Amino acid sequence: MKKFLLRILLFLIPAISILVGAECYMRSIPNSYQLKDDWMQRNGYAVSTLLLGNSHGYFALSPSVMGDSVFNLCNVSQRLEQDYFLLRHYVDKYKALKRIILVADNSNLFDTPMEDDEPARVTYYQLYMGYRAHSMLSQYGFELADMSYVWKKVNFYWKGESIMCDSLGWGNNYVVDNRNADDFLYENVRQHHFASWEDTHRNRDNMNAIAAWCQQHHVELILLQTPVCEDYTRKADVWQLQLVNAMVDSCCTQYGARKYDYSCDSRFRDTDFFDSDHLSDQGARKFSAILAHDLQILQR
Amino acid sequence: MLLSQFGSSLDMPTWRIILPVGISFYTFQSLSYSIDVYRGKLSATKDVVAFCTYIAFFPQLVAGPIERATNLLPQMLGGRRFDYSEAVDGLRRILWGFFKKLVIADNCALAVNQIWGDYSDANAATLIVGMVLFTFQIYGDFSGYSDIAIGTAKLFGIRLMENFRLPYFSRSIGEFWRRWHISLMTWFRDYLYIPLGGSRAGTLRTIRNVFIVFLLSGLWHGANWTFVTWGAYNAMLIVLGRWLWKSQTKNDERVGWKDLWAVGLTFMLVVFGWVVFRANSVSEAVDYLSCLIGSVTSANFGMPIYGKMTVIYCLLLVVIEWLQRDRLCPLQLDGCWLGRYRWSRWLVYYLVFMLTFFGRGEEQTFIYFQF
Repeated sequence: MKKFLLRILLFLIPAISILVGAECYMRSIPNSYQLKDDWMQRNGYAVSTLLLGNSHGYFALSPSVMGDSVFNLCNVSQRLEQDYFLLRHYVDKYKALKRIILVADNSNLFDTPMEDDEPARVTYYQLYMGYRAHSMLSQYGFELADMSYVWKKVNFYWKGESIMCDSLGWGNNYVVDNRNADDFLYENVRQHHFASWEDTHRNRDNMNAIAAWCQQHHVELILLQTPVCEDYTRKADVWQLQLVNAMVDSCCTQYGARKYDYSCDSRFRDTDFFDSDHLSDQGARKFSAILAHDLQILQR
Repeated sequence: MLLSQFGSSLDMPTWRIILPVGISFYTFQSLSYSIDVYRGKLSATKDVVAFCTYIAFFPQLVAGPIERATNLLPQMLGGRRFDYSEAVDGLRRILWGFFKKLVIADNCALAVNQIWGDYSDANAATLIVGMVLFTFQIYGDFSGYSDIAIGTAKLFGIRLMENFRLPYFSRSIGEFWRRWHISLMTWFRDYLYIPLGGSRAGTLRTIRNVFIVFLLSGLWHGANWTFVTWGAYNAMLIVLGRWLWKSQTKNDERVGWKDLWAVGLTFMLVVFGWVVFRANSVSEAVDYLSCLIGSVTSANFGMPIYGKMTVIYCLLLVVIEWLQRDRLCPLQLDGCWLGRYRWSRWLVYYLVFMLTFFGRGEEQTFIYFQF
């Protein structure tokens, strides 16, 4: 038995060393989560407008176009739960925060928890942004827990594209020339389905919690719906869109937030989109300028 | 579907019953004990702990192998001593089982689910890949579990029966069923087929017995017409095989290069059987095969969309199992040049370990947990 245990130990030591080495390598790869956290830790005191939300905001809002001291803290598949967490996480940093722009639309208000769909992203929040919803010894504490994301990340890193956003957090890799024409075919247009009332209520509660936080801290809150292509709106469930508007309107009434809905804005053409519900780099610059202009009017 | 072409329909009744995990396995183990005691092959045990351990022995509780009381119970009653070589062999089995489950089955599952989720517009190559990968998925999943169970039991000094002996290298459907899910098929043979008269009661009764066994083994997998159809399909192939090829190959005959055509033909027949097994309904299976025929006749071949890397993993499995086909586990390296030195053996174990860790697919539950 002693010999057996000793040999197992001898076998496991190099194996564990390789795995630890691989985990360290994965964590050394620069990524948008780490970049955003570093930026907030260093410059959070100067930020006056903070952008929160999912990929709709991540790819659509370019802080450099929107003006000084704006930072994009959105990320792909970011749920309202993570938005609320991030808002509170950097609370000690805010010295100049005046406005929060939060994406609230028919994607993130109906999202299922991130743990269900994209557990690897929970790991990124845990490792790089101080999110502690799960034990660091659980599957959410290790990048190697999800191999499909590991290979994707390594692949992007070797191509020199691991960060995928500019220094102010804008997802600038949805370049119009690289888009897939098939994504615009009506049958391929993405649909965000209603998952459950439980998920919807949880998302609504997180949105309301963010609004309550803003009210309490005298920070202006803008609830934003980014431009989407015509077929996306045509294909979306009307009942779902009505529900989104009802939830957003209720939040505005209750907490004094403002609603900015660009989902049916006719100024955006097909060439402004990367796919049915995401703006391309070109469209994002255009939208950021429009939004900045509209916000200036509001300020006056 | 066929009847709908004639303006008619047939609504087959189905049952929706929630059953505990692994019920088919431990029910059969309990039956085996009762029947063996009744037949006088085994004396009834008075040791409740040993009996309960036999029924609920954790490595094989939820997905087999379906153990016989005559094999397992005496091991539970007798004393056990730690055996170094058995324990090492157990670890090798566990490692190989994990490779089959995590690398083969889980990667196949991803591609298979994608292909089966949207097969109506797929090209012929994609549909064929969908069928072949499910064949590997179910093998990797189920035999992987059996290997892990057998290996774990060995660590405790318990020897479980073998459940798979390279079934996809079979030269006939009859041989396939002597190599696939051995514990279930021998159970049916001993407690059903032979009591019904087996193959010694005339041709018609033999055919009847074969159909009874395979229809029931299909039903054992669940109350779905797909399993019944799959059972009937296999029974038909067994009967046809007996009729067309009178001389049957024996289990102990080594599969060689000269048998490749028979192995290939048997594999193809098995692949078609798994289509019915995988489908949610018989009409879905017919639909899938119709799409395949449609794609082939309209020369819509192209390249498979999904699972290219997984095909490479499956080929790797086939090559390794072929080279090591004389051994119960391919990681048993005694007698081959790689097993001559400890460093070379460990190098192989490391390679398999790393391949299992870094090549694993998305987590999937074991298919046979539902049975």
